[in-house]
Amino acid sequence: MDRAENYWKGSRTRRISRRSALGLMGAGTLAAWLAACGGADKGSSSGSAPAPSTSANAAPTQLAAAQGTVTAFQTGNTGGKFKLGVTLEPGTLDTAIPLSGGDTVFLSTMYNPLVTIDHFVPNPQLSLAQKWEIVDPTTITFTIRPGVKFHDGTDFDAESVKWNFTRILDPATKSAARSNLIDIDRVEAVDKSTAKFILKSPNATLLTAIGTVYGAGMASRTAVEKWGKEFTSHPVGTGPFVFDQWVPGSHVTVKRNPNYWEKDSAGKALPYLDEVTIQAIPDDTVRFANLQTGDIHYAALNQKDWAAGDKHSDLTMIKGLPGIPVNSVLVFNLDKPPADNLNLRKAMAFALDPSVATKNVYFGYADVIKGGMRQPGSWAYSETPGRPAYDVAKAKEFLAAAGVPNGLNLDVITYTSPQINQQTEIYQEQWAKVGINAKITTQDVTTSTDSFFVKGLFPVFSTSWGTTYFEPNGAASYIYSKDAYYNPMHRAITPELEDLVVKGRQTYNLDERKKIYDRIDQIVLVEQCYYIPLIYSTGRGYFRKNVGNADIFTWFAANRMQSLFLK
Amino acid sequence: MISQQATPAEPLRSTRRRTSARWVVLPVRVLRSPMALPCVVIIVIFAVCAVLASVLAPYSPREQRSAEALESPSVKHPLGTDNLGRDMLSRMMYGARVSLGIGFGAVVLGLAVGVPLGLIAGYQRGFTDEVIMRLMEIQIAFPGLIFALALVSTLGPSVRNLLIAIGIAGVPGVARLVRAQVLSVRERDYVLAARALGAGSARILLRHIWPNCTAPVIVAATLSMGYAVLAEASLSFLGVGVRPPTPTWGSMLQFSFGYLSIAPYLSIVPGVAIFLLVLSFNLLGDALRDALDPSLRGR
Amino acid sequence: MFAYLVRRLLQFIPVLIGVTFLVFSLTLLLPGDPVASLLGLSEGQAQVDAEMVQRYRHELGLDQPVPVQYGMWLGRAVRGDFGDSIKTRRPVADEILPRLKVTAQVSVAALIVSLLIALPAGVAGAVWRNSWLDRLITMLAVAAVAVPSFWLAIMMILLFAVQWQVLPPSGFVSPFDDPVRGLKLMVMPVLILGWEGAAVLTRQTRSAMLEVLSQDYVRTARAKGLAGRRVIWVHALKNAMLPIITILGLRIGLLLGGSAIVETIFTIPGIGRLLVSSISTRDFPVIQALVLVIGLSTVVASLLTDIAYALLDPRIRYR
Repeated sequence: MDRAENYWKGSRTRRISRRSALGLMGAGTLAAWLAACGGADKGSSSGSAPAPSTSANAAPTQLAAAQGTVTAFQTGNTGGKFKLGVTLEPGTLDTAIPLSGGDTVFLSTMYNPLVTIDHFVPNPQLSLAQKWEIVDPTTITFTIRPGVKFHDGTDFDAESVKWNFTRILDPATKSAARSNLIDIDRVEAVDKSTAKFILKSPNATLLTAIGTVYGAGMASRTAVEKWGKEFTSHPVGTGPFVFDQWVPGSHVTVKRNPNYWEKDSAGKALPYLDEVTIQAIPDDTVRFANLQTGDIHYAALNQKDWAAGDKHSDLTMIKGLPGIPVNSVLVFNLDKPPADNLNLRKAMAFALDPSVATKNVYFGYADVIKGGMRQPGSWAYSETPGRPAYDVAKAKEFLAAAGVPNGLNLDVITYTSPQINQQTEIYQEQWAKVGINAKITTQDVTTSTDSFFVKGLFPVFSTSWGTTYFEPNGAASYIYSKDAYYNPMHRAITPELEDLVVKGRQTYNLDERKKIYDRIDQIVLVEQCYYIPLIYSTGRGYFRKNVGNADIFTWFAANRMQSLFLK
Repeated sequence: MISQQATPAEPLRSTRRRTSARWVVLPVRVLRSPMALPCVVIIVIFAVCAVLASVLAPYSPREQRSAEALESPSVKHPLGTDNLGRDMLSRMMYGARVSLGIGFGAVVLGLAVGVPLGLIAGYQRGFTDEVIMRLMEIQIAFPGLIFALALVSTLGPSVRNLLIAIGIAGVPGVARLVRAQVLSVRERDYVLAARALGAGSARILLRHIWPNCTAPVIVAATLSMGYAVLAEASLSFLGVGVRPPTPTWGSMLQFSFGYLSIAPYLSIVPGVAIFLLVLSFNLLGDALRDALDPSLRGR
Repeated sequence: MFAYLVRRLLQFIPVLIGVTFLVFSLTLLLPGDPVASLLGLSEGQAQVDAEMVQRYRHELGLDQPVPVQYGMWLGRAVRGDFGDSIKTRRPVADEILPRLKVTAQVSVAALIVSLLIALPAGVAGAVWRNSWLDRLITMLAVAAVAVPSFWLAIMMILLFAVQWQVLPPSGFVSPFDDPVRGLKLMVMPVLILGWEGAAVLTRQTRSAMLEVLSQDYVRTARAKGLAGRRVIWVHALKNAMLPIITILGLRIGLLLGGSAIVETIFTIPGIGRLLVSSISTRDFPVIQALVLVIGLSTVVASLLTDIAYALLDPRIRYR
């Protein structure tokens, strides 16, 4: 818990140990992983959980160590060209307006966020802000690291911070991070090295919300003003690599930033690599083929290829975090029959045995969820007692209690993706066993999201979510609150829940916050049976063996390319 | 219309008698070609599987036996099982329904629109002909797959929209073919004679001209069946095919690629089925052409 | 001849109008509010942003009668203005042009491969008609079009790249920039695209050659003692080329269609891949512009083919 207590202590003096450097990453990577890895499939990255930027994620060192995947962080050789394969090509290279989580991989090479999240906690030593301080609940000051320059040679200072956040908060920019930052009233540049954030109301999630290049990276004002709309293909940030070339439909190449501000623990300048090329290879089989032949050094593979990847003598497997992504979720529309009946919702939820899907769809590389939408291993996590779990007898009891002991007909909607479709077909069979006759409608990601959440056409949605958030406000504000886009009822679920969501966001003390989210999960999962996560998995990335420090990359380390080197 | 011609009943008119005779001789001639018989057998087997899937299939295409997932072919599951433990043979049979159904429906749609257009264009000539042929040129401007992609991505994918997209893409070919055929017979003696005797346009078209167009139309229809089955597979691969849980050969093949290293038979089964069916339609089309127009034999 | 060309050009005008109208009418077919689709908004978002939707509707003239809408759309299209891509927010024309070059390179290479396979195979089939070679060629030509090309592509990658490691698995570099790697990368996609075309062209070449070989002047040439090879390759093939050219013209459109699959698998940054990825991201302005580009290239190719045909074949002039 001491990590958690450090959350707001911007001046903490933890030495960057080798180990802690292992887990570094920018935020928003959850979505990056998603898109890059297809741990959930292609669809989900831009879809049902459209990378709501919210929260930062970081690797818990302790966790990684426990899994035995951590080795010492080595000082690398300088030089070399690194290539990695992802699923999607970027929509834009403007850090403010990424459209899908997959864009994060590209953005993180060229931009830094104001704070970098390290093991769930913002780490000032690795951030553009060296220090931060809560002056009062609605005023926070950031001390800016001196001497940092944008790729175009202009200075990064408090003025740049002010200008960037003004741009992000301007609705016309359509920044992906804006919805998480609307509690910011304004940012002031007190002097060259001090930026003051003035909030409309207290917000405990601020640091993670700004700790991401997914919508909130620091961009050069000069370049944005020079290129205008064209900035999307002429990105300029403070990141470890400088933009070189973007061939749409093929790849993005970035080159080493010789003036990058970060150094490794031995004092050697980062990054090590001369050049990074990120290729978009949509077909899983072809992407794996490229990794096997050495045409790329890294790719995230689909579960079905993991066994082959493990066996391959030229490849190293790197484990990611548990809980990312959430592969299967059942969402009910509480206003749409038959899901308007609590007993029927519980009957539907208790009838499902997700372990069949973890075995047959994910080949054992996934687990059944025991809590709510909070990331296992993070400070916020705890299991939720009494939440729906596989129990046919209970399912039948609830059916009887609802007055339909012989079952009912059910319209289920799901979105196009091999894994989601298969697990929904598994659920269809399991429902049939208790007499629930489900008819499946499959639509593409965007349409299904619209049909269910916006138009409210279906009682149940079998879908996925990019990730649980170690920042639990993510799920709360995106799914549970009355204004949440992913709340199909567009009303408060219960008045208490509505209050708790606001309280959770405004409470700075982490222990108190955790209690709030425990209560929220109790309401959402047990009392209301509204949003039921079923399966999560632990991501994996595969590297060629000649990549150094691959183990610090883990799944998210697409965002930590400055530490990689080629042996 | 085709089936009417195929019934050799009430041989009233000379032209009619001639065509009836041809319909008796045709199967004999077609089957004389060495490649034709196996093709017909394959097509018939697949068609029977499709039509009688609910009777013949050993399991329901949805029944999951999770303990029997990803089993290689065995006595119990002649074509193996997929990763949910569903019987591949049963899924192939039900998939044949959709794949062949789309193929057949699309060809029928192409004929239903293309044949009348071709007949009218060829018979009326002049301005009508110009208009119809320009319309066909416009349609041809969009290659079949692109047209289907554009239409399905606009209207949304479903069996019906897929069938319409593939079917309409086949219209210009049929219309041009029929028109050319009409042009070649419309000045023949018996047509002129019928006209001189005061027969109406509709009657001349249907009784005297159309019977002479059937041969090439049948050949074209057979060949387009193969094309339509392939088109379904390609659209599935590109992500605009029929949505699950409905099984189709194309979607099964596309899905199986993910499992090449674990279960290669998953892609062999639908792959071979598509190949055999398309090949059979193509070879049968060739055999039909030879049989219907001996002058083209070996061309 | 001149009259023929004029007539052909006159016929081209309504086709041009029809093609553009058909592409335009995709907007009308869109379910829901077309403006929402053009802006990449879901219906729910469109309700929230009603003011912007309304403004955009007016700007695009989508509140006008259909013929006026079409006119305005055509006016913008002629100026190369297809709006902005929903995904990249860049002008659609900027997205398409560089990719068109790539697709053109691959397509031309595929056409060459088709011809390199089809001409010898077709001629051989005609010359040794009904021999085992002829039967084999015919059989292969039929079999070639019965295999789904995406299946063939994946198999080739697994064999040539992963198993034998003789070719790189995927990607694209222009052969003009890096000839060795560029050509290596092109081998598989071009073979697959060319193979399909070769099947059709082989049959066409064979029957055209059969036709020519039965003509009097060839018999005469042979009778006069001209060496067989020269007769076949010079006299006969020259004349058989005419119908083959027609087929080549039609191939252009089919190649563009086939490129959707091949470019997606081999990650070639051409218009086929762009079309497929735009469909999955519902980037309607890009889809519409691409369909237009493909439609126009096809009709123009067929016009040029007809003109070439007329120039080459004197008989056409008197029709």
